[in-house]
Amino acid sequence: MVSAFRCRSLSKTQAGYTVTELIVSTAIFSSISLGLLMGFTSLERNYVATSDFSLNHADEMRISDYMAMDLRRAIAVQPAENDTTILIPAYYDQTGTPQTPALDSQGGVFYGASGSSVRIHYYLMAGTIYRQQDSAPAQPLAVNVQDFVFDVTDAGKVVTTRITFNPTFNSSGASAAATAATAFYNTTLLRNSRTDIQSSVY
Amino acid sequence: MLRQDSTKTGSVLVWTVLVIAMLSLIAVETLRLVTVKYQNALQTSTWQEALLAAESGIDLAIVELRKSLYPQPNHAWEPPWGNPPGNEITSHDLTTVPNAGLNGVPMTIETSVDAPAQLIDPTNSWQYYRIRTVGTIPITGPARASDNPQDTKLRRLSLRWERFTNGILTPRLLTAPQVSRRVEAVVRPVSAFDQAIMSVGVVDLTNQNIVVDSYDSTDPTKSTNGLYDPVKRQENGDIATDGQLIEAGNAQIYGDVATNAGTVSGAANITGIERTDFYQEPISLGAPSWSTWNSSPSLVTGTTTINADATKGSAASRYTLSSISLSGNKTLTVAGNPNGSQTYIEIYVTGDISVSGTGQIVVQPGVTATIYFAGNVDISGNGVLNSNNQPSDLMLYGIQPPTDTSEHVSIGGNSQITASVYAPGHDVTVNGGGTNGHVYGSVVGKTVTMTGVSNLHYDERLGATGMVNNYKIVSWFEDNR
Amino acid sequence: MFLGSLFLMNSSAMDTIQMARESACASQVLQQRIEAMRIANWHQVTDANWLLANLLNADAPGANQLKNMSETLMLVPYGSITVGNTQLTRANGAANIVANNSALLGENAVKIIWTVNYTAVPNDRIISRQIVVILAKGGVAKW
Repeated sequence: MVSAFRCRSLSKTQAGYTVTELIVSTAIFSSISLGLLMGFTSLERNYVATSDFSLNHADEMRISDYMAMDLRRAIAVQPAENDTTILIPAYYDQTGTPQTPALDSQGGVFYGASGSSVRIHYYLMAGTIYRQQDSAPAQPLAVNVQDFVFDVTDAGKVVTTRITFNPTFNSSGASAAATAATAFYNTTLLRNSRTDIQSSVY
Repeated sequence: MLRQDSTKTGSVLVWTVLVIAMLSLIAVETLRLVTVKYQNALQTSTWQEALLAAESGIDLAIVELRKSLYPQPNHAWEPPWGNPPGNEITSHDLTTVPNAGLNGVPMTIETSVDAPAQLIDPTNSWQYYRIRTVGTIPITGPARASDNPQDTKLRRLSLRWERFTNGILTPRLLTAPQVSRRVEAVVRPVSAFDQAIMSVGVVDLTNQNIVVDSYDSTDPTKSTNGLYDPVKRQENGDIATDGQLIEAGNAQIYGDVATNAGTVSGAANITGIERTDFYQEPISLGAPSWSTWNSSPSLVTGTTTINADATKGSAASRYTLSSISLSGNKTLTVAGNPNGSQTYIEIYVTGDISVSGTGQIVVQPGVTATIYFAGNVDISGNGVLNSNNQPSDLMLYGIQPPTDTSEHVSIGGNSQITASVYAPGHDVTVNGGGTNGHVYGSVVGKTVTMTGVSNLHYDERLGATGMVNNYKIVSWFEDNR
Repeated sequence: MFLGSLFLMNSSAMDTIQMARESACASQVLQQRIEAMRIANWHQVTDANWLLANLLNADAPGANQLKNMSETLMLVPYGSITVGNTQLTRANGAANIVANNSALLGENAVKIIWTVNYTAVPNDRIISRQIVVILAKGGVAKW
């Protein structure tokens, strides 16, 4: 009795679908799935682009602040796109302790040995921007930044820096306007007298 | 019996749930990352503001140093500073400025000024000062470190521990996160005679085709026997004005030319920089505050001899005169030692100085003379003879006249003019340079006019002698340990 | 519902990036403005007309990222018994002098208060950022 009832129920559920129903349901399912898949893909791409932008923006700020700090205390600057060298006073000794200032014969001040300085080199190589101090191992300031451009404009006592990167929100690549919109600027007054340019007024 | 293929319908749901879960994880991670970076941006802002606090400290110290250059009472180093800086004596100030940072937090400026012995210039005993400041601002938001070690190395945020205790690299526990930045600056005294010509107003070289250059009487490569040598001419004959106009009059200037948003008219050639962003306020001079001086003479109207003294600043080396008036054949002789050894004299003229006819002031060899004057100066006739031929041996300082009064300095005469004139409250005119039109020295005036002068040779040694008129930062370094 | 929350999280992340960007932009505007004050001489810094014609005549580099930005510059005598501020504003591409204390030239130091206001995400809220610095005659400057 029970099995007959079950057989009757089973036969109801085993009634099946018509071809038309199958085609329609498959079509609906496919279109929904396609929509979902495209949505998922674009969401995922957006998340990646968002993370990438956020990281790049933080990298920009870091590079800009490092350069500004070194430029403020610079005594010489050799600017170039993606490759800039700054000389700063040899304030610290080899143990990292500040040295005592001494007077030179020109009315100026030096730390350590007279005429000594520390060389800071900023450069982009193989997708990484490095900051190297003298011959110490170069410190990577930002990685995966092959699209970064840091521009340094030297106007004597004032140096401006501009850093851009290419945002990846658009699959066809960043437009010039989008890249320009990422620009991070810094205008720095060199607080020390420069030893690499001649001026008596400063 | 047929079996429901439940796995076929169930697998879509499973896949959907899996994909959504994956996307959720990515979304959460992205949100976490951007939130950390946002916090990073806010901390960066606070870090940048802390430098403004530190540099404000340097400016506050320079205010006190400049105040100390003014006549008394100048209120320099008053509380909260408490004491002037010295060798192993630090003057200290702690200032809090409200509503200075992100979210209206206050900034704290801690400034220390000292005068180490190794920062005394051995050539003139001028003291350089070291200023060390710490600017501190509280961090708003959670005390979260950056996820990038380079950020941590750059921006030394004190989230739990402050790295320094009383200036020593020794950590101490904090009650609230903050950021501190430290700067060390060294300032040097600037001479009143830092340029060949400096004027508050117009500089007029009056179409004399004047040549302005420099030499250094202390450097044999830049002078011969301490005297100007045209073969060793230097290019530091700078001219500057706080005003807008330099009438160069076809001048040949071996040096820089600076105005305050002004113009240089008619310069034949300028070898240095021409800049329009100059402004330096000359310190106005008050009457010397001597407690004792020679009581006689008190006035010079005829031929007179006054004696210099071997001790600089001694009562025997100081004279106060109501006026100097020489005409006819009258001479004021400032006498030194017969052997020409170094002697000093300071003369304070409370009224006018006038030399005309065949009158003359003679500064004998070995004498370094400093003359303060409160009135007008008119020197012609035989002029002023500086026997040492060094402009640093004859310095004339004009006391600031009362407001709305006009005083002048006119220097000329038959003697070669070798002198340094500092009179920012007086209109200064240099009339000729003796027989050959050459003037040696430096001129600072309210306005400066040169007539009949063919050459002005600035002695660079003057940049390290005479009155200190200002302080200038010569070293700046951020200690980012 | 899941999808909705995912899109919401995406939107939130974009807003957070924009907030970070705006905050950084505001900081760089303010820092560059103060640096421009240090590049000027004391006479220029205390001259409202010079500030109007040379500093506030244009936006600072990077300011175009801030929506509806307006700036207020105030100079207050510092460490002095004298009163009277100089105040300038810049908004919608135009600047004007609100108050002018021409006696600031004679002061030893001034306190500079620079404020930047802008419309920020989310919901177009108004954000105000302010920095304060003390500048002295003969202090940290180009000359």
